[in-house]
Amino acid sequence: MINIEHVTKKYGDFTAVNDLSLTVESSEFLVILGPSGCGKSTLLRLINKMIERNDGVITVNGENIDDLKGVQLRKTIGYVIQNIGLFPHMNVYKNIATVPRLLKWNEDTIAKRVSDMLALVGLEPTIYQVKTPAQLSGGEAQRIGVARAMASDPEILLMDEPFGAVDPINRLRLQKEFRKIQRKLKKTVVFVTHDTDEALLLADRICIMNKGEIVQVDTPENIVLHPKNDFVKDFFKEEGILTILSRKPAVDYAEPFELDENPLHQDATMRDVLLTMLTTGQERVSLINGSISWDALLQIAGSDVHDSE
Amino acid sequence: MITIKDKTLLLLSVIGAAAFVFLNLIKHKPNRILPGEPYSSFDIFGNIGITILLVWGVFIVFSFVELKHKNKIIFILTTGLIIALFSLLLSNVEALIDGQSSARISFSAGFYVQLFCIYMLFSTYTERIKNHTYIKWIGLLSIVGFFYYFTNTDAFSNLSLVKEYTIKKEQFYDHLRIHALLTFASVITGAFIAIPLGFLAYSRKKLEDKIMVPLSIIETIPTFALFGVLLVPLAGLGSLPFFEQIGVSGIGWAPAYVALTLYTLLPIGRNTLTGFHSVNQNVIEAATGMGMSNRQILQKIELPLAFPVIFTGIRIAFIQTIGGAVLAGLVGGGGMGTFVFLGLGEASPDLILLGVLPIVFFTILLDYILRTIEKIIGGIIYD
Repeated sequence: MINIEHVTKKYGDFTAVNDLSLTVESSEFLVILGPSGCGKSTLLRLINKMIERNDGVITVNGENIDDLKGVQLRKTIGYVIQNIGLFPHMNVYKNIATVPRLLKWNEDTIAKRVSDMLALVGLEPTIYQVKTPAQLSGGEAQRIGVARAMASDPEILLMDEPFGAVDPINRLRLQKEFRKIQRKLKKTVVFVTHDTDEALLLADRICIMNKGEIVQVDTPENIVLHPKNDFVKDFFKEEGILTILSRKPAVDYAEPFELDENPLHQDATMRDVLLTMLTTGQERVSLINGSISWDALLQIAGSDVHDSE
Repeated sequence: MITIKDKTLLLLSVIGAAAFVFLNLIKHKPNRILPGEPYSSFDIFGNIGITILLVWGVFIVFSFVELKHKNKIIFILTTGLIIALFSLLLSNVEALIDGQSSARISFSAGFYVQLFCIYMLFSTYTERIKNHTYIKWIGLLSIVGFFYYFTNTDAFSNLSLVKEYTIKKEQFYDHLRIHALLTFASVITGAFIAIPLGFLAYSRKKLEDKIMVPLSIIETIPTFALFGVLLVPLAGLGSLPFFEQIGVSGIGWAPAYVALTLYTLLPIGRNTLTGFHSVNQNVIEAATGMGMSNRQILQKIELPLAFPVIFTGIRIAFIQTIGGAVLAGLVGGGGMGTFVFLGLGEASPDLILLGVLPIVFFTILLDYILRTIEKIIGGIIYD
């Protein structure tokens, strides 16, 4: 879907992105993770030609982006930034309708689309479309930002720390909801963040960057269990495994062994199973469709944890 | 323990009361030139007039107590005060003049200070009345009706100000028109020059200082000096056929128009720059990221968001220019300044006031109108 080959971007003497190559598959959720100043935002903005690169080739959907006008390219790619950038003088409806209007859709189609998008991000259309950005909470504004980016149904979404300014509780909810939406609509997402938990929770693959170069690209499990070097290991500390566990729904791993006690709720993750074991001292935890033992947990967490150490 | 509940009210009513007690209300002049004899509020208003002082006293008391319907009570009393002040004054000066046709009455500090305090109270408490707003309209209409009634009698004719007006009636409206024309022409020309300049300073960072510094320098040049500087080039320009025809010369309306226009450049240009700077960068980034062209960003995002600030600049320029246009009188450019400088030359304060009072009135009026437009525009731009 997106092909980046030997791309370099320099600001004077400073090399922001250095001879970088990366491929993003269709319908993939790719998270670019790295410390501030590692060039991750620059890389994102190179894809939609917000900035021009010095060297290399980028193709989007098989087309070399040099063959497209920046304005044309950007209309086909959704873009969400940390501070959202909702237009303060336009109500929610007009904000979401921005790109469809640029694409000259007819107004009936736009009205339906706006309503669908609001419903998609979990906001009641009739109530919210007439509100102004000033009347929205941080979390609501961010939902509108996502709805606006997806309004013209782009195949690709570029997101630069979109949930960074939201409070932790809302952030987790937004992350989970957005992951669901992405799965459902099969959008290709390139998502920039410096938050390791966020990356582990959302990503199909994580691309770890440092000093303008890629350090490691792999699935969250592999990155946590097989960090390529000390930089990656330090970046995740030892807690990455907990986040990995929180990605796994407990019911998927249930053993057909019913316990005579209250089961964990339906949405419990393997992380909840572990916490229950640690707090109660039990070696087996009851689920709605069976139970899980300590040994099974260890195996799920990474039968290969020992190999990697 | 006594605590002040309303500082505005206390300040204005203390000043008003002090003006009543300590300052002269009017001067009675046997003719236009002679200095005249001062009269205090007590002299003119007599025993009934003590009620005016009493109202000032009541206001002072009110500023220390919590009162239900306070805003309305003060508003009603203030309306009464305006009417009482004028009707007592007008009915009592009649006796003073005693039929001498050359005699006249000039207002003194005591009158103006009390009038100012009453005006401030009136405008403050009009704004504070939130319900039963019909009271405002009753108050306003009774004042208008009162003045309308008196202008149809000859009660005002003894006032020196009115005498000056009657003599110069035709010139008065001519100069009022010229004054308005100069003001509007200068500000509109200034806006056409300064808004593009401000935008240029915003869009080309390198040009910012090169544009804004000269505008600031212009603002520091005294008007007199500017007229002097403009004299030669405008005289030169006036010798060309077209410009000669439209009346350009080193003196007259041309230097006034040019100088006033130059002075509007800073407030409008500065506010344009500030307006564009105040547009959140994230908003522009988001707009760019969504595929808007630079032109669309300017039209749909930057200009609407910057416009309220730019319009404030235009309003400031208007207020500044209405006052500044007085100086056109200096170079024979006409306008209300003509009366001011004529009055200065003849040592006739009332003639000066004939020039100044309309300016004060129109400044307040225009400021109010432009603020209202500002709000309406804001409402249109913001959903």
